[in-house]
Amino acid sequence: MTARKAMTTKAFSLLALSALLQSACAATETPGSSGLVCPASIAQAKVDAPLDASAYSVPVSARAGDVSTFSNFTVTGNVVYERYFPRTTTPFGLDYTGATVAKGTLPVRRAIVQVMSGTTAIASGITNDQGDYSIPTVIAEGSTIFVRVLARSSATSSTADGFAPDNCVGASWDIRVVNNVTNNSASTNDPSLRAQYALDSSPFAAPAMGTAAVSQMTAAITWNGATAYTSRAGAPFALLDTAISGIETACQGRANISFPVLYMNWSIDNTNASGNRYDGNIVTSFFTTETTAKTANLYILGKAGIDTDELDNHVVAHEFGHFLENKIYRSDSIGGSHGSLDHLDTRLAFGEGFGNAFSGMVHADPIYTDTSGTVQQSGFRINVSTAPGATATTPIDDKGIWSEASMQYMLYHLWQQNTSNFSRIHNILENYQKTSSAVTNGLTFASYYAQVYGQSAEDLSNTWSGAGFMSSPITALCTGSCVGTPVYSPFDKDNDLGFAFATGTAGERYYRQRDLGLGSAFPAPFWQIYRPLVSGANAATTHDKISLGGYSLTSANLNKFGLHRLYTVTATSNTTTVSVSSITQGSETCNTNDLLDMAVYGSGVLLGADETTAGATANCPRVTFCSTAGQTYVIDVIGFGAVTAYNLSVSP
Amino acid sequence: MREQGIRSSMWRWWCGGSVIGIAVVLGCASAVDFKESGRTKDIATSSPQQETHIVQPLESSNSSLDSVTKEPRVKRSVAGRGDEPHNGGKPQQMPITASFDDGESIQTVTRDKVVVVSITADAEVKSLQGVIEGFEGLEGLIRQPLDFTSMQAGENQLISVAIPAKTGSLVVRINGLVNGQMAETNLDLKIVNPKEVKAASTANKPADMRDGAVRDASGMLVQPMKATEN
Repeated sequence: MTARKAMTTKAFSLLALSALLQSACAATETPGSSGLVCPASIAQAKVDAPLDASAYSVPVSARAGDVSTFSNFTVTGNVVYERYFPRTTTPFGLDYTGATVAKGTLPVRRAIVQVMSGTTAIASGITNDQGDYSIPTVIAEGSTIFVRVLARSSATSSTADGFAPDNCVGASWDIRVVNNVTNNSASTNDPSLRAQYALDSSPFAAPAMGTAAVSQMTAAITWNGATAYTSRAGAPFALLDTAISGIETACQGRANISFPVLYMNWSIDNTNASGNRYDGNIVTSFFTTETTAKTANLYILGKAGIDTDELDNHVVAHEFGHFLENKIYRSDSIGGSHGSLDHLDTRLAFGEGFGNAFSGMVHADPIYTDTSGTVQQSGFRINVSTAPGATATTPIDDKGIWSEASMQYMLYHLWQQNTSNFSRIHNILENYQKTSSAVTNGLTFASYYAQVYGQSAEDLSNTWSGAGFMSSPITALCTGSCVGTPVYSPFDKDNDLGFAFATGTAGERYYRQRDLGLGSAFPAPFWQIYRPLVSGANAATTHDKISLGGYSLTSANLNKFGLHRLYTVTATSNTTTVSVSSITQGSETCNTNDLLDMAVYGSGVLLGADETTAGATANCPRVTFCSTAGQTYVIDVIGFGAVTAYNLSVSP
Repeated sequence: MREQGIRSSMWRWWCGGSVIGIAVVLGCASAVDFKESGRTKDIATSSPQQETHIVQPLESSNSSLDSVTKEPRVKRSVAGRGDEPHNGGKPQQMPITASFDDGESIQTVTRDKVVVVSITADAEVKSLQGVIEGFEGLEGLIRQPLDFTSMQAGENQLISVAIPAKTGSLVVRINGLVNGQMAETNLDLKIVNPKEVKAASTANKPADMRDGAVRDASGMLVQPMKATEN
């Protein structure tokens, strides 16, 4: 069989985590059956990264000089940035001619403005939402000074400036647009080595006392009409602007959010080659966290002629959405390659659907456009307000929680129906889904939304169950029938989804690679999102199989629906062991291959995993974890190849 | 000119106009290098035969679409899952990746040489059209149309390209039908001649981005850009 990789760096991290966990456990109470020593209860909620308070200080120094000649004056002005927009007709590239949309000039909002004398900032302020600034300044009359506008916005307990939107009153943030192309590996772990983009005015002489100095500045973007940009200073400010819109959207849900520091890494050299990020080889635009501090970073493509994303404001907002998921809400997404027509692991589908929907909300524009290619003249667009639905020529099934198209539609539609306001979605994400023992997927989100606001709120019921929408049973959101006084649950314990989609039913559905025709149907247990496990032996059902659905077994396809089988276990002790006790796949036995792994989560926190590549648990993973009696845990059995069936066991 | 290799494995190789049948051990599961996110590639263990996809029903009732493959794949650690670059906000990503035949996206050259570009499909692409062309320092020097019109999931194509010793890019530009919908991609493969890296990087920059980074008095590293002023 296939040779397997050696232990990865991440695996070592996992070992370290396990070691820490065991170390923590060892300090308390009595040993469990596995030798683990576990506390009576363990904290599981993810905690936001602490705010980087030091990040908010922008040093301003008094300039040494002859006090008797100092002039006290105000530097005022306005800062705007330019941007091109995508065409609204095919091809959906950037419209450099203004044929459909004129080149835009937009205010630089909430950026830090410094009055500079040489390399020293002698005064600073911030632009308002119209791009205006006014900075009291003291320096000797006639001194040479200039204005520097950082592509950075930071605030501590922000106050309203009177220009809408002003949702973030009391909020804190620090967003820095920096150049990640340093050609210096040290910048990988030290973002201070990535240069902060800044727009500089021409030098001018400090005016006389009481006289205003005016500096009107434009961060230009200019295409030369042929093959190249002659200016791109607007790009970092376009990125900052989308981020400001992003935080304002989130603040509709809670005004005083403390956003952790976010680095937006962009360069004209950021391209889709793989390699070192500090050389610009970023593969694609994406969100990630870096270093042990888990600092949030967006990387955005910028290489002209290949793929530029700084003006694709939906792409940027999508990635910003992942930042929110990671730092303010919670994401259990397993990542990987995905498409809107794919049958995905439901955690990934929700995360990507959220990113797409959020981009439409941020810009109040459901048309998501991504430009690329030669002279940025290629591109595609999707309408996130379009309901999922297979067409006559594409035998797909994008109506379900496995589909990012369904997830983006559901979320965008809820937003639209809530008077284009994000508040309710934020509430569910921050106060319910974040702490749920269920995974972050469409089922979890919708069940909490129904619980809090009612299943008919914002047309949720129709969106979830309508034949022209997700075509899924509304009863999946409840324990029982959802009538009377419904008891909502994110686990669909009675498997309403499965029974509605099962082979031979009126609602028979298909799991398969996007373009392989109708393919085969599956029985109800296969569709069940979580199989509840009981103490002792759990004989294989048709849930307990790894199915590729026609997808080829490549790295890119390890995140599809049938390769991750989820379970719930409600603990009865402070230590719980879950294992695959036997496997049925050709001549496989527990130690002949590595077709299965296992991970255990408590409210989204990884509590343990078995990724052993050889030995007795290679095909039959086994995880012992610290648990709290009565708590529900999620087990993920991860497939690395088709498996006909496997039995499981839970102890105690 | 090219040769159709073992069709079942979708394996083809041609070089400089002459056919060279070589059973090259290559890993083509993905051109995406996961090193940055702690992933490892399993490129040393695959073979042309291992690219074969054998559709083999396992259970007549519901598993006829399951493939039994012996293809290499990256086993991704649970702890870091989700951290790696996804599509990057690109819901309709063309399921094609490209690299050089060593799995990397960068080749260093000190003299003219022939490089091999490896193109891999993760899903079927029909009505495929494509070209490998020089870009930046290689612009106008290379233009090599792709002579295949479809790719199956997991299929790999190797194309030899003669390049001069210049710093620039080979861009693989491909469009085609994926699931009946048109998609396209432009994949950047870098060629670096260490002797001319600095000159090349400056030449490609817009005028307002040619200044180097500077430190201000607070120690902050700043990338200054000239404003347009009224």
